[in-house]
Amino acid sequence: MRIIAKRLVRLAPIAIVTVLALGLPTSARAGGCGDDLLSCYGKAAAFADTWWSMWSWGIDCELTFVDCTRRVILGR
Amino acid sequence: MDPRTIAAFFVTAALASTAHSSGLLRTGAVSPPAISVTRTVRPTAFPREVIVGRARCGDVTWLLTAALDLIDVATETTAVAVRKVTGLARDDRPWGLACLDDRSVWTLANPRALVRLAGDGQAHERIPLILPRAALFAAGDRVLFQQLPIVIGTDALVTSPPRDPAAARAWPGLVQRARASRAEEVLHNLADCGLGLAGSLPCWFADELRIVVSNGRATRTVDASRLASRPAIAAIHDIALAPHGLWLLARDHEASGAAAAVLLFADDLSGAASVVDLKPAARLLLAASDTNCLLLTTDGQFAEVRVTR
Repeated sequence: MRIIAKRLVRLAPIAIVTVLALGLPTSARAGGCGDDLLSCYGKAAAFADTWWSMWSWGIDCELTFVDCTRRVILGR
Repeated sequence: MDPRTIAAFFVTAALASTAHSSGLLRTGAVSPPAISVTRTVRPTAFPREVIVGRARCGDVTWLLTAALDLIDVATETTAVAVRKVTGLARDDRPWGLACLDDRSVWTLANPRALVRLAGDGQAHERIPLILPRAALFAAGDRVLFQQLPIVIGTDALVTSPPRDPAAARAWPGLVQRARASRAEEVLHNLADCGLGLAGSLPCWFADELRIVVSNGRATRTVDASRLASRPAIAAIHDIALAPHGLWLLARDHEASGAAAAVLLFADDLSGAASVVDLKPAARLLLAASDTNCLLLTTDGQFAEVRVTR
């Protein structure tokens, strides 16, 4: 049972990244921002050693994504 | 001809004439005022980098570029001064610009630091932020911003005194919307605001044609798609409030994301909207009134657009 739970915990980040990849609109992918976000999430999932550090890393990924997309969409 | 028919004709004509002169007889919609580009001015050496912040301070409009140029444009005279922002941290990537009632100018040096810029571009104060922020605008003596991470169902915009980040207060108008994924939620809740007037500010979500004008207490909504029968309008690019109207820069389906090819003036007095196609396209609005507005165009010129009633 514990082994299954451990595997689920390991697979969860991959599942999250997959869902994000499918859900990302084309405009965000086109600007390259989406690719950077997925790569960042991937690193967070692969290298963070706790859920807390992965969550914190994920927030930083989102901040970078916001900065990238707003420069593409809102920058004048 | 029957004398009764002739009499009826003159009576009808007299009544029609009276009704027309008194304004009672109006056929069709009221004609909107005409708008047209009346003057262009080319300032010397205007930076071409992406503009990441704009703030209006009296008769001056401040602009901040991605290359850290801090520009002030005296919109009455179109005089321009450019200086570099200095004193930021190496990793800072500023976004947004706010000029408060006391004329202090602020930017988000990064999502977790609010910085006050002096007139010479020097960073003078650095206020650490516990919760990261995205957009930055001014609302009287408070900064107006978007709090991150995005929380669905809450107001997108919040105000706080610049030096007291914890004293945050919701700015009603735009409510953050749920989407299928986290990345989509970030993307679809990007808020932007235009040039305000007398405490009211027009704001919108980047993927919507709905403008919300709020003063922090009351709100009203303007549907940009109904301002003019222009199916070509694809997105709101910029907005400026005037005392009796609203200027709207819009992107059409062919324009790139960084420029707007259509300018509208929605006139409260006539209840109608005027439209002009812009060539070259416009980057943003610098100033606006009921009679004119000043634009920055993609070829680095200032274009004055006038209303003719």
